[in-house]
Amino acid sequence: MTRILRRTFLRHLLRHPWQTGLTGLGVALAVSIVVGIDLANASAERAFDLAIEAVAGRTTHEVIGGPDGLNESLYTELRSSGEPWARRSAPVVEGRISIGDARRSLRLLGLDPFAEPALRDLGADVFSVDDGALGDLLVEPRTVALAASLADELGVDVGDSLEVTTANGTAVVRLVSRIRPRDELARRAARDLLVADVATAQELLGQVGRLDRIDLRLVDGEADAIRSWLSERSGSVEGIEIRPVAARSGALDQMTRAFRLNLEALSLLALLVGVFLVHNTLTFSVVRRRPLLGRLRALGVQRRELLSLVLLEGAVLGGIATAVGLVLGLVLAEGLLGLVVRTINDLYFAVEVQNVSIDLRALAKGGLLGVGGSLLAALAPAREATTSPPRWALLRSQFEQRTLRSAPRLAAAGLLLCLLASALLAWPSRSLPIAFAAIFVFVLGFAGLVPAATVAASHLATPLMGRGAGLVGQKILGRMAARGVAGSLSRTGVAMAALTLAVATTLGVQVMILSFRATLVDWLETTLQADVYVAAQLRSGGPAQTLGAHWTRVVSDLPGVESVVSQYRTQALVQRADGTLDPIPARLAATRVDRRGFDIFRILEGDERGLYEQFASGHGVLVSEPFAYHRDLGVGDTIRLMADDGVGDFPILAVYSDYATDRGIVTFHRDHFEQHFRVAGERNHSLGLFLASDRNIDDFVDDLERRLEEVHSDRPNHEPLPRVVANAELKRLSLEIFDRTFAITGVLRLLAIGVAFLGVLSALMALQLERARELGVLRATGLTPGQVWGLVTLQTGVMGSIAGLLSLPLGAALAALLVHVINKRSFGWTLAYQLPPMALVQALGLALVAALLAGLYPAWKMSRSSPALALREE
Amino acid sequence: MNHSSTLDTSSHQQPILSLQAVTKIYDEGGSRQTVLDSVDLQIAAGERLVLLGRSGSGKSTLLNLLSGIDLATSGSVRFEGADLARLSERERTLLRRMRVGFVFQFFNLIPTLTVEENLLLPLELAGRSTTRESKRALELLDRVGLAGRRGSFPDVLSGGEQQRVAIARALVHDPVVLLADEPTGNLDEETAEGVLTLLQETLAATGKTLVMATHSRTVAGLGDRIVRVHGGKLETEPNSVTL
Repeated sequence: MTRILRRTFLRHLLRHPWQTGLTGLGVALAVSIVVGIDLANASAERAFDLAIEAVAGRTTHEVIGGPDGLNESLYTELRSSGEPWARRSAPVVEGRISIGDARRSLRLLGLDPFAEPALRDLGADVFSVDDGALGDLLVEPRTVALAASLADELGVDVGDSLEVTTANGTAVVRLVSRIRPRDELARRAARDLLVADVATAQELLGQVGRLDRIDLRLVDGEADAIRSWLSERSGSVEGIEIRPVAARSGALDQMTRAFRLNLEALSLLALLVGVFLVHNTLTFSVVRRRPLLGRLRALGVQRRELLSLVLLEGAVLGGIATAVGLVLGLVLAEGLLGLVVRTINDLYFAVEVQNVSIDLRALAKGGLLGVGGSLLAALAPAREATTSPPRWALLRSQFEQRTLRSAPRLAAAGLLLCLLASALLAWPSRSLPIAFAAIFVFVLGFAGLVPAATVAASHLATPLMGRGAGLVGQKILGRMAARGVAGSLSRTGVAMAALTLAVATTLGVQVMILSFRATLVDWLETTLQADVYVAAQLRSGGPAQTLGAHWTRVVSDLPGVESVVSQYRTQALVQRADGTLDPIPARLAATRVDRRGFDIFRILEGDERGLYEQFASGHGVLVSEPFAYHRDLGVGDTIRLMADDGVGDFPILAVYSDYATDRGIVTFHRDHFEQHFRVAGERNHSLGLFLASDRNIDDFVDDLERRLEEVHSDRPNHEPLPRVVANAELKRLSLEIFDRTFAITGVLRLLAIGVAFLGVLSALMALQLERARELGVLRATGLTPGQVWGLVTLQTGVMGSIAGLLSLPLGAALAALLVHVINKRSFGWTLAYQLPPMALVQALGLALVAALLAGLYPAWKMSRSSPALALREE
Repeated sequence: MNHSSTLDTSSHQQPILSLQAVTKIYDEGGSRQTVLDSVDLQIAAGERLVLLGRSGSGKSTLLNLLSGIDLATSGSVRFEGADLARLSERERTLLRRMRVGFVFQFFNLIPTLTVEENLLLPLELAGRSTTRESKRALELLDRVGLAGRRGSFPDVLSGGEQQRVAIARALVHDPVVLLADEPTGNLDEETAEGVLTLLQETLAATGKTLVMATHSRTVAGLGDRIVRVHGGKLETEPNSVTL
């Protein structure tokens, strides 16, 4: 390939800066979406892992117990055992607290400064805490240390007091040291960390005498030695396990995998539209240069060289756009991070992430997809370039004829892909990647149908448009507009496929969200049956606070309360069939419910007759649908949980519908729960109150709030004032969280539409550029600039309408796949598919408006261009 | 040979088209190219004027100026007495729509319209797509020998056939002036002869004014008057017939 030849091609990109720029921007935007999502996800994951790694230090294993943790006497016993490994152990108490007016959520880590050097060596390893301060932490009650940067941020210095909120209420602690992390990794890990002595942490978190775990640094074979040491103490330490620390760090990855995969799939769809864009531009640029390619062939340029030249063009365009996309991706990640973290906090667990961390894998993936996709998109036009005959001009009409003839073949290939997708979906598997692959194949297959469908639609539209425009005496112009879409299929086909795809994706996601929302509303109606709810002050990401038993008595005693349903929540580890522990703990709910309140469970599987009696008498537990789905369990199976009284088997009585968490919930009757799990006092997270039918709810809420305030002001402890929420308000709040969760999806939808918009704009500009002479002739024949504008706009309107109509079946099918396959496999939820007609109308409108907007500028430009110039250029 | 750049019709008729001290300069990437340099020309109604010159001499520019597609840099171009520079873009378009017919070298039929629709387009634009006019258009199509191809799209026609359709399209709305830019430039000799004969017969039958640009002396024989376009100036050939 000679330098001049390369120059010929690359100069073409520079000669059409708008065209090149628009395509480049489309690809850049698509790459930025992929990179932005990846970086935001990776940052959240990294922050979580870092938090675990940084405090793990040289820890290799941990001893853990049931939800209530371990009795601290076990640690005393272990330390005094005289075993060599005992000297390399340290107790840990860990929990979340919130701090300051902004209620910043932090991790409270309670450590034993004497035991630490064997594991974490807090003085010199990860963190650097003044030695003197370690002594203060140990000796002085209610003293803490936190990162210097965090202390600055909160505006506190050594000696200052801080008010912290825990699950048990508020407390005041004193800062005795500022942690000075040695390196960047430690600095990031320390950003949301508050270190205290074990005793202080126990007191703050309300778990005096209990430890969350015992960290150990073991060498080969010692784990077994501890296991046997523990088994010798069976009875007093039943249900206590030892596991490698590594098991913990994969938890976030596993818990949020489905959530992240969904976001990634959406971002890849945007990239697919971007690839279509490159394909469109390069195809167009090759088609336009057919005479040039023919001339080059006549001069002796080989097919192989032309192929390389077009691929080079694609690589250059894709490369530059990808580089821009990577930078844009970093910016976008900053914006998306907040949304991703908020969703993780709302749905999964508290994680504090301040900044995007540069993840080279995400950047490399974005780079590879951008350049690779562009090269892939350039393949077909590159092949097209090599087929240019060595005579200098093949009539465009002949080329269009050929494109028209290839449309049925493309449709047949598309149909085959759709069939392949159906086969993949019918495959008996729960694999999410396979489901996404099937969707991608299906979307690609449908894109293959678009050109043929466009031709058919254009033929159908021609007489209609003629008749319509005929009403204002412009029958032929109307026909021209409709016929021109199929007449320029080599250019319009890909642009319309891109638009169809983007609008269908939007429609699919929108219908999925609407279906989900409708299902949720319906479920909330069943589940939230109590008239009024009382809960401790809650904030997502912060500590889950509980209500003391006295509050239950206070609310139960109020006139008008007929019955009270209580709920206490905790987590427990699940033992798999092979005896290993699942790193993701199961969520447990203990509910005290009477026959009336039991109706809140919508039973999906299991015999409802006598179910309440069996449940209340502790014959088994209820599990939510996601729990059963993810663990492949059903009625009659048993769950093995690490309870506080040891490992226990719990039979499943029924599976019920629940959309509160995709991790799933195991629900116990409170009495049954208390036989196996320790709860300090009759604490609850929430209370549901059923009122007498003649009791006015608003009046009751006023009375209740007044009563709670009276009790709160009479009590000397720092328990927060419980929050009262009426049924309707709680439903509203639930839907608010739902909408917030899908905010990121909305942003991605908009971005995908943006990419498609650029695609259509770029295609239309290219089309109009090529039609300059034709429009020049029309102007010479007597078309006014306004009529040219009208003609171009009419044509873009036809394109938008056809793309909109085609996007309806694809969007509806995508929604069905998202609802019935992706959601089920990702989260384990069964959703009711709903296709509101308004969503279809909106999708149609969106396609039309996008096309018309994209057509505005080319139409204006063409109507303003000089016909003399257009004719002269012939 | 008349070396004056003022070329008048010697008839007593009012000129249908006139150029007075017209200069046209193209500004292309900073370099100014004078295509027409202070030229005068008057064309009488019914005259058949041929602009003869080499490629790039300014023949097409002159046709564009006469039809109001383009505007002169200086000087005035009058169409039936109206100064085109004083008309708005829309008025010039409407004038072209009603009074001018155009035949191009590359035929320039609209590829997405059938032969019949291409023919009816100017009528529709002129708001004259009545049944009577449509019938007349078909008669015209018959006269150019293409009535059997009315439903065909341009890409299936030969070059000669396309140019015959283009001539019919240029005449269908009964314009007073027919402008032809190298109408046979893209055709073989035999086909070109057929097209010229058609043009000649049509003009003889209708008495319309023709301004035709060509580089071919043979084609130029069709004209009553031959004006050479050379170096931005116009020169009438001495043996031209002046009306």
